Amino acid sequence: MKCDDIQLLLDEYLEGSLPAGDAARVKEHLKKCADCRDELQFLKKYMKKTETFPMLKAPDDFLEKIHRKIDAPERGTLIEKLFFPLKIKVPLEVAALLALAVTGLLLFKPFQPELTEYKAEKPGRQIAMEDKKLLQKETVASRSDSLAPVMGKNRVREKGIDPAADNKVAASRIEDMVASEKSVSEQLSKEKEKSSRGEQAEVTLYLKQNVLAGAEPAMDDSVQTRDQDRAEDSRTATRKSLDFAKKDKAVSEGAMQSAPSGTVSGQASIDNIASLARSLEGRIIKKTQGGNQVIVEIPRKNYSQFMKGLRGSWSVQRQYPAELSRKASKAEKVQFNINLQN
Amino acid sequence: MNRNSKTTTRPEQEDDALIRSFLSDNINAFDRLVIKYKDMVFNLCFRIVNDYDDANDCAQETFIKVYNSLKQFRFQSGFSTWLYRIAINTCRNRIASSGNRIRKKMLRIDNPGEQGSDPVEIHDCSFNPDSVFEKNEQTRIIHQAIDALPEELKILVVLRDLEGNSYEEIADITGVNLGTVKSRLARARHLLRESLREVI
Repeated sequence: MKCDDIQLLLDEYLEGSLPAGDAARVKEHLKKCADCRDELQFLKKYMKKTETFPMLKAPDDFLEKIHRKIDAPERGTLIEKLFFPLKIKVPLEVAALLALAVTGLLLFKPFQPELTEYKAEKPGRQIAMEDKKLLQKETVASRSDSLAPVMGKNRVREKGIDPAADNKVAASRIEDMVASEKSVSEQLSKEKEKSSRGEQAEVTLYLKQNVLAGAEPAMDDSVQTRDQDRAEDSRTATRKSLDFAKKDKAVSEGAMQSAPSGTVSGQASIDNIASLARSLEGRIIKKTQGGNQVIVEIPRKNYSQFMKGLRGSWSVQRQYPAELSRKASKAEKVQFNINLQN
Repeated sequence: MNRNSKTTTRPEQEDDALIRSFLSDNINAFDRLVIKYKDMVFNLCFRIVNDYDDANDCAQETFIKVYNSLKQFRFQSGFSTWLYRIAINTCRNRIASSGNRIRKKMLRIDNPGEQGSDPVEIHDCSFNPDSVFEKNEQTRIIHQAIDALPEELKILVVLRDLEGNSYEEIADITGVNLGTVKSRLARARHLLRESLREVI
């Protein structure tokens, strides 16, 4: 047995509680080992001293104080409850705070950049982007091609490819690259020019039907005056029947329809506006089926005529922008986003 | 110290009977348990925290914890072992939390009258181990040597050499396995032998 093993048993050896076999081994070792004998001597003296250690008595009011503490409500400041013992509670609280912060960051992501795309790319832009991607791909390809003769001359020779021909291919690729770059820049400049010139202006209208005029929507000035004359004629005459008036309007206004109550229904109104737009060389971009929205495109020259036509049957509640801007006035066409209100 | 007498003077059956009596709402049974173990717990606390007031607080806190959790006592281990375990944990918490408090006891007075003189430090003269062992210098030095041991070793030395618990009881109280208890105690004694070379 080694000294370390013997020293583990010395305590019990002294106490006499060691099994006989172990005690004999310890005794044998002690005969040979001076260091363990010293350890045993130290233990003997040390234990003799500790046996005479004074026993203290608890204070006389020990029990009373316990009673008082048990009866009293639990005290202690909030700070003591929160932070003591420091070594245990502070690290726990720091860990909890960090966990909260990490959770908050994961949930709200305050430092993440905005990834929302606000506007769809225009077709021209898309083409330009595609061209750019193609250009990048070709650049990579041409690089690898241009490196190929240097890196793998042997391979080229084995395949029997003429290096001069290879150079020609590379040159043609470079030409293509330059051409495609030019086309991209041209396209971009065209796009810029377009946007600066402003080919199309946009106006948003919120219209409310005139109750009186609703039955007699005006198409243009001539149509309107003609209608007015006829209405006057009809009033001065022996009050022709309502059916006749309807028939008359249908004939005079073509696609125009009127409701018997004097107001025009949603679908009919949209149709009226559409036919007005068509009569002024415009086109319908979109109209909601049975709804109250229609988008039409009118040549710029017919802008005021179209507005006049609309105002005959509708009162304009809101208009954005109120007037065409200088830039928009140069536009060839004006797009009207028309919303009908009941 | 009292190594063999402990088990004969504290029969566990008596403790169990007192606990059962307390659980059936007899508050006097708890008082009898306190009276029976207060000196033992107080001494244990004093030897670990090495301060009279802290020892008093720890001992009282131990009994309050016992009072509050006696309903959870399962009678699987001896009451004294359970009590030791609570007392030692209470002392450990106290040692962990009293670092600043002990430093506060060192009053620092700057004397503005004498410029350049060192500030005078006055130790708070509350009840301390030195006054307990003043009659026996050798005992005081041994106590200081034990107190200077690392906390884990000090607790083992107190339980074994001063409180007289068996290795098995120590393993049960501290939750450390038997072999580790023995090797740690051997290491603690080796350290003590080094520090007490001139005394013993």
